[in-house]
Amino acid sequence: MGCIEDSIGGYRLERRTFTRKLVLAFPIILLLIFLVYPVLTVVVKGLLSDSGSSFAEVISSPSIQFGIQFTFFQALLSTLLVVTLGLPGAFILARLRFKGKSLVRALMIVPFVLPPIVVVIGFNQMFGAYGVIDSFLMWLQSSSLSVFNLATGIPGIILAHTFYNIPLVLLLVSASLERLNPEIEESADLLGATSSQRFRRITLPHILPSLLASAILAFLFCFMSFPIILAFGQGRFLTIEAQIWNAFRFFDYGKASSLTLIQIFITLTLALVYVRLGRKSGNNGGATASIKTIEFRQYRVRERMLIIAYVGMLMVLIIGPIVTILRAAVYNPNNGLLTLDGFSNLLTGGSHGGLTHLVNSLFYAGLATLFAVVLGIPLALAMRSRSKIIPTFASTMILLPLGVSSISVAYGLMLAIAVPTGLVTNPWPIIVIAQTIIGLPFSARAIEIAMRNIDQAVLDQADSLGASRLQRLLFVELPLLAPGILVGGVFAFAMAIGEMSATYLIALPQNYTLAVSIYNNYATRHFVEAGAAALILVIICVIAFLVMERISEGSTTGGAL
Amino acid sequence: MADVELREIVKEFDDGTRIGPINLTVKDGEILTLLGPSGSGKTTTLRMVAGFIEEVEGSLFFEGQDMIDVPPRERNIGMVFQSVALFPNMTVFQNISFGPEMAGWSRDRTVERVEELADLLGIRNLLLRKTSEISGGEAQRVALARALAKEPKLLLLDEPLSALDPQLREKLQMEIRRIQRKLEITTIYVTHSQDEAFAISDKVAILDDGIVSQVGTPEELYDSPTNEFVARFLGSGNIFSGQVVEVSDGHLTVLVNNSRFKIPGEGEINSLVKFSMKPEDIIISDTSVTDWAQANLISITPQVGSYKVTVDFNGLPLNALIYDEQLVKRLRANGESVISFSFKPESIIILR
Repeated sequence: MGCIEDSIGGYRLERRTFTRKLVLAFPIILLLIFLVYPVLTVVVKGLLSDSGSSFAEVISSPSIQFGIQFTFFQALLSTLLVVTLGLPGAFILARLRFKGKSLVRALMIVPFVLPPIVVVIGFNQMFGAYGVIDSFLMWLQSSSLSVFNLATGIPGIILAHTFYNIPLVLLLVSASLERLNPEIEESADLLGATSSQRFRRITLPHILPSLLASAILAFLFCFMSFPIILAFGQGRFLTIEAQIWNAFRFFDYGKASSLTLIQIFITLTLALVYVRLGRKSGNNGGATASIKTIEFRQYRVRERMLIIAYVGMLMVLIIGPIVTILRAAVYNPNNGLLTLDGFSNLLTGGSHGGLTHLVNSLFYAGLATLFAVVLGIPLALAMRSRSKIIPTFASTMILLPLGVSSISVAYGLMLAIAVPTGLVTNPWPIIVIAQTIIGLPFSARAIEIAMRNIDQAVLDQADSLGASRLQRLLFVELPLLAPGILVGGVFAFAMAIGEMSATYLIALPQNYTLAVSIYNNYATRHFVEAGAAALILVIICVIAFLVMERISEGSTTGGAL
Repeated sequence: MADVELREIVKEFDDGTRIGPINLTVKDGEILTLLGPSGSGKTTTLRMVAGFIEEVEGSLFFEGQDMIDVPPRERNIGMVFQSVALFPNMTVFQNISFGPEMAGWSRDRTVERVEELADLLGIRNLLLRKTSEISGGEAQRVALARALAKEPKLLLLDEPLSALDPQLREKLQMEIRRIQRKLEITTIYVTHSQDEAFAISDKVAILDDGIVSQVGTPEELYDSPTNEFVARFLGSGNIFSGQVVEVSDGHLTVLVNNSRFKIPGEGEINSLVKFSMKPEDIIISDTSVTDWAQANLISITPQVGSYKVTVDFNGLPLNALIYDEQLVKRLRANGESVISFSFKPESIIILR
């Protein structure tokens, strides 16, 4: 008897673990189909180049070589600027005691969720021709023509990239500084080190991994940047990413694939280094409660001046472009008049009307968010699974989008999925898939962090009180996970609705989203239409940010980076 | 090595907390422990001596020289922190040699010093290890070596052993004492553990709410606490408080919880008196004795070499130590019962 019962129990158990494994493997399998397979197809095509230019032709072409060089050059320059401008800020953020510090820290996430194309509009309005600074200078010199324009060419690209990535350095390096036990620096003091010796021998080695990690991440983002390059490069300065898009537009699949191959090789290498460094810098234990902070008035006058100048610079560079989007929405630089045309366009239907784009945006991003959450939960579970292979697979899948650019993903999806299935005539499902892939790492990460924070003892308690697996899931686990799931969903939504690169490559005119239409309006000098649409996206992102802050109280959002 | 004196040291913080005035003297080669409950200002006092706390009033003399305005780096102090605070990016050797290196010692002299200390502390085999590859006890030894390396005039130890397990802690207490004696270095030690303070110190200063309550050798403090705080903190908490009802030739009769106690001392009738009694000085009987006070037995806990008996004296818990096994057997047999207790008048400590 006992024997039979055992075998039935064993059979049930086996079945249960099999179902469980299937659930955990489900998102991984989907990602294999919609991310790995397309990218591999592109890479193989790039090597074989059965249509268009061959790999050898591509790599030996002077214009491509210039593009690769330019990609490195601008990414390197942006990264250098980001690190130089960000490092003092990281020290101030860690060491200066001021009210609203946690809010400032939370606000750092805003530029990160802000769509790049919105940044373009904001930058143009702040630093561009007839922008805020330009208008002021024109008034000073009583000139009727533009006298100042930084929002174009290389300066525009570099500045916009700096805007985007400074928060990264601020967050990662200041967090690392807070993990530095103040007693270590005091030991160095007592042992006779001067402040410069202390910085060189103790502080710098401590923050180096996080500094390198944020530099590599910034470099990666700049390397794969697309909307900013497209808008400010004006066709003269093209990165690899922009060249892939160009080649795809002119049906030179050989060239596009070869370029993707080159790009993926570089970015995946960097992503790998980043992950290694991240592991290293995360090992220094939690934040010390006793970190020494100093009040503003305790600084010397000269230091105070420097801090004020620095914060002022950050305000102009980071807050400026976001706030001036308000002006961009109503000020028409073409005739110098205030207008509400931008908003009336948003209420216009039809193929060119903003309403269609807005509806498209909400529909695609909504669906993508749903998928990102539904897949994010099993993916997060998979990351925490006790099996040997599944967590490795899951983490790799989450990290893959870090090293594979949106254009590569979109191009791969078009080539490997849309063309064979005939979706090319109306590729909206491909847009949703691309946006899901881009949002999924963020939702999965947020949910995984929430899971990590659940006390295992609470679950054991539920078990010992006689809850079934389902009861435990419904009444204990899900309520505890709800905030994490919500944060993940909001994050994924913000990334999806602001996504322009992949969408732009995939979309036909009837599929255009708000982000794409902002670029089109901007490129055709319909500035108020672009400005009004950008304002809508800013509002959506700010609401998203507020929701995340409200739910997580500042604890999980930073971690989702 | 130096005499160290804290004179009228005061620090007021923005939130209103105030430490001091503190007056303390540490003689050359002596080890003084700051002992007190958490929040009593021990660590703050130590950090003022180190120079980490700014805008401190009063004077701090090292060999007669006021150091109050001298930055930490120039005070020539060695310090071991509670968190050990070894430099994680350096090896054990690099950690120990950091001080001499900063002081510009020659390479030969530095190496010689590091090896000498490593031998003294038994960590020679660890010199090439990374700090992440050594145990907690080893890390403490390395931190001590690092603090001693450039031959400081004063050694400060801020609860260096509190993170270690009891056996290792006891072992390292002995070791710190041995090394401190051998090097004859003036030392200030901070701990909240009475055992540790008594095991390690020449003198102990008891801190209460930012003020030195009493200073003395461990024996002096234990045998004659001068106030209720010290008696409670060091002793058993057997504090009696009552009214003087009779004064006669060098003796007072005090009424405590409706029982009369005759104690040696001078005083005025109707004044309030507090006195304390060490647990080993209380005499217990299982039968009713005339003139002795009555109390209810609560518990008997066996300890090494004695039994700790807790009784309830009309709401006042008292602890006594007894050594008589037969008495314990009788008490146990009686269960929760009334006992009688008394004490020798000369064992009374009158508190101010």
